[in-house]
Amino acid sequence: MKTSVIVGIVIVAVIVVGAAYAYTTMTAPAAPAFKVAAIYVTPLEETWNQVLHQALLEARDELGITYNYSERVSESQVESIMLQYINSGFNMIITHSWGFWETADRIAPQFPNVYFAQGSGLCTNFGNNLALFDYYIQEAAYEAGAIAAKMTNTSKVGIVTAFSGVGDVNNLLNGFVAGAKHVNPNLNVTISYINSWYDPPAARTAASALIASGVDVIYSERYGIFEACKDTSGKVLALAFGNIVDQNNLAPDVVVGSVVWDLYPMVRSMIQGALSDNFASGHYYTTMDTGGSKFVWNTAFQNNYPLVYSYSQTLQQQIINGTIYWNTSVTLINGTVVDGSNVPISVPNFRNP
Amino acid sequence: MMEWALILGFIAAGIRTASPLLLASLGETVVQRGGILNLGIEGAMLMGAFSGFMGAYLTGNLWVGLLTSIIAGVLTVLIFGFLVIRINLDQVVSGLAINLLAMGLCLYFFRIAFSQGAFPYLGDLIGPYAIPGLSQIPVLGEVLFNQTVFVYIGLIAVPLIYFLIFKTSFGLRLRSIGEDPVVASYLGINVSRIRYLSLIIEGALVGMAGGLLTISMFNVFDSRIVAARGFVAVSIVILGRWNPWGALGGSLLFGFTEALSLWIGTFLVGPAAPSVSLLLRMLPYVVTILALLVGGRKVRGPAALGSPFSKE
Repeated sequence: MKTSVIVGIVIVAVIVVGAAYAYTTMTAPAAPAFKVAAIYVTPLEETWNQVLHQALLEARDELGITYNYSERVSESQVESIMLQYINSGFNMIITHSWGFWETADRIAPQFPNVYFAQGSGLCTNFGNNLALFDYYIQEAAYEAGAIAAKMTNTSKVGIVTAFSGVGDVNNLLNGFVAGAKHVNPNLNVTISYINSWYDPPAARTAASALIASGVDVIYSERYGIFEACKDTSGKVLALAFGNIVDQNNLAPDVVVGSVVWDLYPMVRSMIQGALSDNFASGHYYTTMDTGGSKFVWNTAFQNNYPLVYSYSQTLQQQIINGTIYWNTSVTLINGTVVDGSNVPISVPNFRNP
Repeated sequence: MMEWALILGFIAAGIRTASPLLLASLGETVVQRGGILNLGIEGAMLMGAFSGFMGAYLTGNLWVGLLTSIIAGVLTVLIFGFLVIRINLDQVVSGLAINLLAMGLCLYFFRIAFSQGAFPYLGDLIGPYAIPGLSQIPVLGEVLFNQTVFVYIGLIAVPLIYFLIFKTSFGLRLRSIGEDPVVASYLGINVSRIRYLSLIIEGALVGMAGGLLTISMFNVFDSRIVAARGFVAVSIVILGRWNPWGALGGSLLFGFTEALSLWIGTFLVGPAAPSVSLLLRMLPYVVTILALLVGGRKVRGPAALGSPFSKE
């Protein structure tokens, strides 16, 4: 019995000390500065959250703002968390999940002196204080598609993604396919849906199926495929592209480069706008010309494929200059094999309204 | 040639998918034979995945990672054991609580270990080991005998655990506890001791199943990496009729149907393909239910499974 009591005390002590540590870390005294709060639906470590978190840390260091966050907040909790931040004097609330958009759209008009930014959704009540942004990195996906088409030996490229029919994800798929078809209209593109937002073992199995069918370049829209790209002896069977964050180091002999989302330019623009009473409400698009969307080459591949690299730089300039463009009305991809000629190579109307 | 590549690739995918399920379901088979329903194996797998990753990351040695994943699995399952054996709490509630605790602990220690925004990864993975001779067998040798240590351990554990449960005095006592712990206790069997021992065996196997995900299958840790495979392992125990060979069959059935669903989904063409692939992802669960309907209706688990036991 004594042992169990001691074990019990140790467990309770660990939990109490841990909770105290977490509490003190997350509620550091706020400086009298512009206060921004971010609310995440999943743990901070998720890549979707990391992009905004990194941008706000950068804003904290460069613009001197105060940044607090809440993570693992469910849709039913988000309103009360938002109100807590508002009552604590926060100037800007960023709700960073599709499931939060209706709440943000409803709350924003009630607090005209607070700025709101919603990460994806269908908001309409922009007023003067609500911004809507999304995962608009199709320009970089387009560049990745073009690079894939240049590097494939089998004229078969693939994509491993989550679900079909999701608008912001389809933007990327369309971008990748359009880029690939831009280089080679006859290229065969196969899309594999794992029907889960996060299931690396399933993504790996889907990638191995693509490779077995002759695909030799894969866009990893979802994480989990890199390990499938080598056989048991370590021989590279397929090349890959990372997504959202720079994943080049995860498998340096496989990942050609990553389609990267950088929210700092947008966050800076919003905060500076708010500070100068010139906040632009409405849609924000993270474009390549503003640095919100970028293709980051793996240096080793960049050095080994100088012609492809140089081609990609030209392409990048054409996208930035507006020579290559597509618009934001997206044709949904309904089939597994996508005919890129049907995908509008329209280019993002990626300018802030 | 292409057809062979497809078939062999499919077999490899099926075995890979089945391997964590086999380890976890073998462990759960042992404890359920002793009357304990441990729904906390999802959390124990997560702790194994996290600790395996941390052990390998901090020491630079993947085998240390394997060891730490086993230790973490054992410790997590022992906390569960303490709750249900010593304090006599409800097994289902305790198991679910362990899952929440594991999630919180992993996130908490991950934050302590790495600066915010760090994206740690391992430079290497525990790769396959080709068994000399057998791996040279044309075609299938490469697929069956060039596997990771986790697959070999799982396959060796099947007969060993069968022997342990059905051919040893420990197994006899374990099974009698699973049927009626009160009677077993009157007969002089130390119920708690046997149950703790069974939990240690489970913890080692389940921790290893988690470690497999972060030091052999992938080189990163994410708190969602187990993706409900612990719960699937519990259903495989029932499908396998609380028998290690059944667990092997159930794991392979689940692993191969999951691989099949993804492979068919990948090769579907046409406008309906994405919807059909969505339906196909249910295949492993549909097959499991069908298998239970066909062969599991008359199956009876350990009589005292999930029941609390107190000497008083």
